[in-house]
Amino acid sequence: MLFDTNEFAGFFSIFFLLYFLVRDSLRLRNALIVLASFVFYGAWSVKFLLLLIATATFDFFVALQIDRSSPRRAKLWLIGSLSLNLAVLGFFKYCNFFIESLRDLLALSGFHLDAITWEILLPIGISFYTFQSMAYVIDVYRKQIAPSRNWIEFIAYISFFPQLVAGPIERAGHLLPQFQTLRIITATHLKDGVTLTLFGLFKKIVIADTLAPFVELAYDHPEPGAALVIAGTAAFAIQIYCDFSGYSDIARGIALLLGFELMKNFNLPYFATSLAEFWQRWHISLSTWFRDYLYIPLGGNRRGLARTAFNLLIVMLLAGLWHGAKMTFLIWGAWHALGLILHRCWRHFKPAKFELPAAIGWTLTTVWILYGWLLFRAPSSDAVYGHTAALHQWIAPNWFHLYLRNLALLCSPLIAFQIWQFARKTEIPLREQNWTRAAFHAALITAILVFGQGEEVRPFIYFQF
Amino acid sequence: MRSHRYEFSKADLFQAALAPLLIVSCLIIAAHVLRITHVLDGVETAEYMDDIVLTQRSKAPGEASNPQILFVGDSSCLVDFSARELQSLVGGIRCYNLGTLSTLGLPKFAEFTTDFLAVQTNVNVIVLLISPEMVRSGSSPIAAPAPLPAEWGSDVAGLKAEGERARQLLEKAEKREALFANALALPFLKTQFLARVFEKPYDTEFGFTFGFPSGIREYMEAHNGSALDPTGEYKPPTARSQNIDHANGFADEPFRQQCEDFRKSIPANVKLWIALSPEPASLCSPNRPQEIARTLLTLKNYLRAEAVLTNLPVTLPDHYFSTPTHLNPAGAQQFTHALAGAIKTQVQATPLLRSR
Repeated sequence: MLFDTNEFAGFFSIFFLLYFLVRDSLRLRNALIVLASFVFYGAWSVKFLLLLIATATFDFFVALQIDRSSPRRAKLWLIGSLSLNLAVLGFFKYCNFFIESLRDLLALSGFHLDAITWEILLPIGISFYTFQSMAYVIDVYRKQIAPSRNWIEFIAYISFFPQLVAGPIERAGHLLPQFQTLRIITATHLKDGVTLTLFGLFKKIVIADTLAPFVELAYDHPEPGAALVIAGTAAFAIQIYCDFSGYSDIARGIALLLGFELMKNFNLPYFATSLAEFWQRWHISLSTWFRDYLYIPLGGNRRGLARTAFNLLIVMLLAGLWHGAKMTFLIWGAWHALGLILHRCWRHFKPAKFELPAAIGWTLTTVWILYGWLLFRAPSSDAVYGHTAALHQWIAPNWFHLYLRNLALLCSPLIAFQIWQFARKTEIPLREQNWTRAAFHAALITAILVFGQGEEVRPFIYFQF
Repeated sequence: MRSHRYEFSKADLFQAALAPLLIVSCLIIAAHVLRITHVLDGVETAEYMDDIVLTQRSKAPGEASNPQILFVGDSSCLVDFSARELQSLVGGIRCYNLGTLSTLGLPKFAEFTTDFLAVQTNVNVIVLLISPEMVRSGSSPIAAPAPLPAEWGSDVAGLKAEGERARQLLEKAEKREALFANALALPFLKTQFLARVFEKPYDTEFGFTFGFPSGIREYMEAHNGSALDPTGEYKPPTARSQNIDHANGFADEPFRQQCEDFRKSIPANVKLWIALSPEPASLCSPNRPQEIARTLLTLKNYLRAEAVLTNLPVTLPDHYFSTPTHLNPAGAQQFTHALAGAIKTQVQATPLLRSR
């Protein structure tokens, strides 16, 4: 069930009505959320719903055990929980990748392995809810939070349908208490919820889905040339941003309408003037997850430049691998690691009082990010090579002027709006101007209806991760 | 314990949810008014090749620049040669391609031709260029499919019933969706507002060649009405039994009548020449040239044509085709040269008049 379908509109309308009816009972509310989340996820696959329930229930009991055990036993429980979560994730997501990689590696050394690969379906959202569940167990182990003693509450936290399949990856310390307390839905919640939901749908349906054929044309073209590769990659940068941040906006908007606050997952990432800043603005819930549960435990930046570089490399390679079992994602991770290491070296060796002008920093960062998206979007390592080689061929198809014109027409309202958000340092515009805001909502609804009419529903890109 | 509380007024609810819907409703009403009053009609919104061709053809009389030779025919006429290149190869005799689609048939070709000639008075010759496939009559004997094994009977019946149910469900859903979209005036807003400023690209070969629907329009305008079939290289079936034998059912009565009607639509002072487009070599039997010669002769009689362009290739190697009836760009280039040779020969035999 996708957010941008009639099925979800029907599902949410019924849920919203029932939610209103259970406003006097916390237990009933949480039970209703769990039930709705099960229906939402079960619509994809009942089998994988059972997997979600099983792994979450395991972590629920492990957290309780950790809380009541000695530090040594607690550590064992923690290792057990992490091992199980990573094993499940590894099996569904990386099994074939590792078998194939091993086979290719052995073939290079002259050994030929008749490796068997399986047809494994990836449970949707597994990377998101597994990371959320692991964070919970680690936080309990670190005694940063108390374990939940109510299974319904905990399952509601893990399977909360607005953010279940593509994040934000919520921390228990932030979201879990919201299931334990009275939620007050104010006028601000209501209005911001509507704005975020509509803007998210706009980003997804009007921008991301409409950009998809532009990107496909550039990446499928047998002889694209530099102009088309650059324009197509810029289109992909906007597509993936609007697709993913659109999902996050809808998730946050829907949650606000229910009185829940989810963390902000994107903060105008393409305005970053350094790669380090980009990672503070892009997929914030994942980057902070890696920071808190991997980068800092590895030593962070406290053990000298070489060790910092090594830590960055490990984190970014794993961040690449988190996106999926593909060599191009690993290369993408390595590319970002290299950028972050270079940035770290620059900060280390540059004269103390010298600062790069923001415009230069932004240009360098954007070029770095764009080439990263080329690595990310390319269907294979060979395609990476092909598209990189195309960057040296200064040719363009004879219809390139149409490509640029339509791309600019589609994206310029969004870019202008984001510049305005950046300049005003506000995510939600027109808070104080009720009628202008209503007109803005009306414009969003009209655009969503017109662009969405008769078009196929494209799944969110991040569902595959 | 209480779960959640709503702390907003009715005015807040109105501003957040109902006011935008009210504004959208006003927009929809305005769109319906515009639709009913036809204030905004006239924008070109065709996305698919066939629709674009038909739209272009209806505009062709006003856009062609005084051609002397007009090509009329099916989609093989449309894509098998470039009228602009042909024009330069035949010493500047102005050519225009009015090729359309075989499914329209000769009556529609006649209609387009009449409209064209009403405006473009310089045309001396009409060349009817069609695929041999088009002259294949509906009465040609097609082998009946072999009966299915008896044990498949119930399965097939079940599958058919299931398929029918699915089709009906889909039809219902589509109707519901169309009803909803029309009620909200969405197709009107999409075609009369959005399409004026924005278009989406094609994918695969059409995308690589033309990019966008307006890319096809630009190409056709630049090539005097000719288009291209960019779908790649034709891969013929391996079995030789696929050989074409179009001549079988050629001479049926409805087709003869259509030919006579087509001829009647051409003014007396305009000559009619006829030609057939080539076919993939691997699909043709060795006696195909003789069959084609007979076909052309019959066509000439039906159409009372002044000439037949006989020195055109009957077949071309498979790699010049994208489908059995369409040449690919490389094939079109080859055929354009062959066509130029044939036209030149014919013009030498019967020179064109200066004007009608």
